[in-house]
Amino acid sequence: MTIHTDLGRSAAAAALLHPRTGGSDGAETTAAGPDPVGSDRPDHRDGSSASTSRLGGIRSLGVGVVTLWLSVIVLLPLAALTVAAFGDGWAGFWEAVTAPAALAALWVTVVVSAGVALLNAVMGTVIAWVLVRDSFPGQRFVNAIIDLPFALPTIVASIVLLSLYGPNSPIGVHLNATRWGLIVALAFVTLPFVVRSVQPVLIEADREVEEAAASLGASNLTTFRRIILPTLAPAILSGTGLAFARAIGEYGSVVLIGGNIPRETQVASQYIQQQIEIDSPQAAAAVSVALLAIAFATLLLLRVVASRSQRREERAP
Amino acid sequence: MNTSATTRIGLRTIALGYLLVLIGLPIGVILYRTFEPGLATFYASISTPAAISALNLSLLIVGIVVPINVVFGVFTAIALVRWRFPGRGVLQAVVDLPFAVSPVVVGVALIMLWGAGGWFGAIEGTGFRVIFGLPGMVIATIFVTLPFVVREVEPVLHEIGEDQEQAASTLGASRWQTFWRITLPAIRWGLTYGVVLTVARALGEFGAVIMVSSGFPGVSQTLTLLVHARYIDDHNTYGAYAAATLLMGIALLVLLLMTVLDRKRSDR
Amino acid sequence: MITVSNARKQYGTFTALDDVSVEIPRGSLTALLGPSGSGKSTLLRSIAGLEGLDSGVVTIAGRDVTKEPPQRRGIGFVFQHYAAFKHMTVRDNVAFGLSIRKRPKAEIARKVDDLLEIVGLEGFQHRYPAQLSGGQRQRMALARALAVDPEVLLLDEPFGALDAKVRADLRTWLRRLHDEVHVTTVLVTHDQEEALDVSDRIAVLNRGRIEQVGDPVTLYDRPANDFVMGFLGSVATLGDQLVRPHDIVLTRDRAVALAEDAKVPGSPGVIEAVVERVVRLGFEVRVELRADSGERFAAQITRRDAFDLELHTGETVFARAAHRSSVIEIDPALAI
Repeated sequence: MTIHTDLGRSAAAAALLHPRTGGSDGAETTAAGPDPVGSDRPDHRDGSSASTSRLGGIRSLGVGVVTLWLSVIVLLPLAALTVAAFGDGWAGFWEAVTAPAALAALWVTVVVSAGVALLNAVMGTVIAWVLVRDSFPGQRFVNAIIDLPFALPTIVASIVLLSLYGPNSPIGVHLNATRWGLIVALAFVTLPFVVRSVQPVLIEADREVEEAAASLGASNLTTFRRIILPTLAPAILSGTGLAFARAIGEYGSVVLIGGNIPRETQVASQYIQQQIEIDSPQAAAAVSVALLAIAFATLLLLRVVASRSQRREERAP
Repeated sequence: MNTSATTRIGLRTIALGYLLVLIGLPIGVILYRTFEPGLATFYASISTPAAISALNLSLLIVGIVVPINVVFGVFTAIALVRWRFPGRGVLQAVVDLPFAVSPVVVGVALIMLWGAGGWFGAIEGTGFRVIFGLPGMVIATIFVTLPFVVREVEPVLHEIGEDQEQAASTLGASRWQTFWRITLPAIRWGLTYGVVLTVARALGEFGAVIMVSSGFPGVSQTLTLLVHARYIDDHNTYGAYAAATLLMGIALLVLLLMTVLDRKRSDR
Repeated sequence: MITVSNARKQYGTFTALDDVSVEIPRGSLTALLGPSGSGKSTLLRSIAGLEGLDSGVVTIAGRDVTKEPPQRRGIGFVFQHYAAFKHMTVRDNVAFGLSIRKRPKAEIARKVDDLLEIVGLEGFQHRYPAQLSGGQRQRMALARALAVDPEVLLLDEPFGALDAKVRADLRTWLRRLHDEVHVTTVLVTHDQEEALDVSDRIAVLNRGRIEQVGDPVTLYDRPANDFVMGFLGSVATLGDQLVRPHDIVLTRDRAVALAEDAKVPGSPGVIEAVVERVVRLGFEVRVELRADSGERFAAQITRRDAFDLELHTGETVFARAAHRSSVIEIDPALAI
C-alpha cells in the first residue's frame, strides 16, 4: 500500500546511506572476480569478457565521457567552492566561519534542524503507525498526502504555510519571522522522511513477536518499548538523520516565513545568500563548506550506524 | 500488539491532527484565497506577461534539462551497472552527491566555477554568460536533478540482467540494435519515473536557481522565482498565491503520475 | 563441426579452461558434462563468443571465429533462465533474429509459424513470456534460437531451472527435435542422467580440463579414470578399485567366488564382507556391506538373486566384480 512517490529525494537520499542499495550490491561483491568454486557461470560482466576486450576502446571512451560529465556538473563546482573557501588560507576560512553572524546562523540552523528532526522522529513514527496498523476511511488519501511536501516546490511550501500562519493569518497565528515559523516550514518539507522509512519496516514487522510478548504478559507499553521500538529504531534513526541533513540545507521553504533576522531566524543558507549579495564570495564559500561538512558528517555517521545495525541483524541466527 | 480502542483513536487523532495543521489547513487556506475572488481573477493573475514568460522559461529549462539528463543518465547508469572499471565506486558516490548539497550551496559553487572571477570565468569574455543567464539556470537544474534518472534506471538494469542483451547479440543484433530493441524497452518505466522526478524538481527548484539568475521579470524569472518576487518585491500576495497554486496543480499532477507509474513499475 | 584448440581462460587466480581442445562433429548432439566450476559453461560461452579466450582458437564449420563477436558466429544460444524478451510477444521473440536480418515480412511470418508448430507453441503467438510456463518459455527460446538457421545450437543448462517432470519431458522432446533438425548441438549440463539420456556424445570436464570424450556407452562402460566413472554413475569401492554397485556379485561360498573371479582379468579380487543392511528398492535390492578392512560399500543385486541368497544382517558374504564390469583403479590423487 505504500506508494513510494517521494520525488526521489527520500529514496535517493537513502542511497546516500546505503550507496549500493538495490541492484548494485551484488555486482559490487563479484567485481573482484567470480567465485572460483561456487559457480560455473563466471561473472561475464567481468572486465576480461570478450566484448570488453574487443570493445575496450569504446568502453574506455564511455567511462571517460561519464567521468567528464560528472566532474563538470558535480565535482568541479564543489572543488571550486572549496578552493574559494580557502582562498585566504585556513585563517581566512576560520575567520569567515567564526564571524559572529555566521556562527549564529549555523547555530540557529543546527538547533532548529535538530528540533525538527526530533519532532519528525516522534510524529513520523506515529503517522507511520497509524497508516499501517490502524484503518479508517480515507486512509489511502492520507497516505498519498504524505508525499506532497516532496512534490511541492519549496517556495510553494513557504507560501502555503504563510497563507495560514503569516501576517494575514485567518486564525490569528503569526509565525512569520519567528523560530516557530522555521520549525513549521522545515517540519513541512521533511515530513516524508521518517514516515516513509518506518512504514515498510512496520509492514514487514513480524506481528507474532508482538503477540508472543503479549502472551508472556507484557503490557502494550512494554511491548512497544521492548519489542517494537528496537525493531523500528534503525529506520527511525535513518529517517531522522535524512530529515536533519535536508533541514540544514533548506532554503526555499524558509526564505519567506523565516524573516531572515540575523542571530534570530537567519539560517545558514540565508546567510550564504546574503554574503553573495553583499559581494563577499569568500565568506559565502566558507560557510557553504561548513554546511556541506555538517551534512556529510551526518550522512557518514548514519551510514556507520546503519551498517553496524545491519551487521548485528545478519549475525543473529 | 492489540492496541486498545482508546490508544488507537488517540494516536489516529494526533497523527491526523498534525497532518491537518501542517498540510491540510494551509493548503485549504491558500486554495480558498486563490479561488475566492473567482476563476477569472486567478486566470488573469497567472496570464500576465511576466507570468507567461516565467512559465515559458520554466518549461524551456525543463525542455533542455530532461533530454540531457535522459541521455547522460541512461549512459551513466549503463556504465555503472554493466561495466567494471577502476574508480567506479567513486563515480557511484558522486552521483549521489547532489542530494547532500544545499541548493544555495549549489548556487555558490556554480558561481565559483562559472562566475566572473571563477575558474571558468574567462568564458564570459566570449559573450557566453553562464551565471545570471539561462545556461547558469540550466546547469544549476542539471546539478540538482542529476541523480534521478541514474538512480531510477540503475536497479532496473540490474534486475533485467544481461541475459536478454546477450540473447539479442547471439541472434545477430548489433549493440545499437540491442540497446533500442531490448534495453530501452526494458528500462522504460524506470526511465519514465526518473523523467517525472526530473521534471518536477526542475520546475520546482528555487534555491539553486535564484542564486544564478538575474531574476528580471519577463526575462530570467522562472515560476518559482515569480512566486518569490511577487511576494517579496511586489507585495502582490494574491499573485504569489495564484502562481503557487499553479505550481501546486503541476505538483499534484506529478504526484498522480508517480502513483500510476509506480504501479506500472511493480506490475512489470 | 566445431573445434576448440588449446583454449585457456583465467579469472584472476581461477583457471576456468586449462588448455582445452575438443572437436564436436557435425550434426551431433554433444553434452558438456561436469560439476559446477569445471569450466563447461565457460567453454560453451567461448564457442558462442559471449566469453573471450585468453588464448586458443575456435572454429565453427571450418571458419576461424575466435575474434568474431557473437553476432557473426552463426550460432543459436539458449540460456538457462530463458532470456525471454519480456516486452515482446512469443511471435516477436521468435521473429527477432529474422527481423534484425531484415527478412521480408511474409517470410518471417511463415518461418515463425513453422517453428512455433515444431516447438508446440502454436496458438501462443500473442502471449507474453510472463504468460507462459517455464517449459513453454524454454521451447520459445529454442524456437527463437533456431529461427536464424544457426550453424550450431548451444544450450546452457537449458532445463536447469525446470522441475523434474518437465525436465524429463523436454529432454525427450529435444532429442526428437534434434533427430528432425540435425543441427550440430552442444548442451551444457551437470546432470549425468540428462547427458546419458539425450546426447550421442559426451565430453566430461573437470577443473578446466577435458577428462574424456566419447559416446555415452563407452563413457559409462570404459571410463578413462575414476573421476569419469564416479561422475557418470554410482560407484562402490571394492578393495583398491572402483566398481559399479550393479556389477558386484555376491556369493555365500568362498571357493565359488575365487573360481569365478579367476576368470576376470585385473579384478579387484574377492572381498569378504558383513551384511549391514538389506534395502528393497522395488525390483532391485541394495545390500550395504562392510569389508574386513572396515571399508563400507553397497552392492545392487536383483530381487531374485537376493531371494536366492537369503541375506540377513550380520551374515558374511563374498563380493567380487562381475565379468566385463567397468573397473577402475583408485588414483589416490583424485580420490572422490
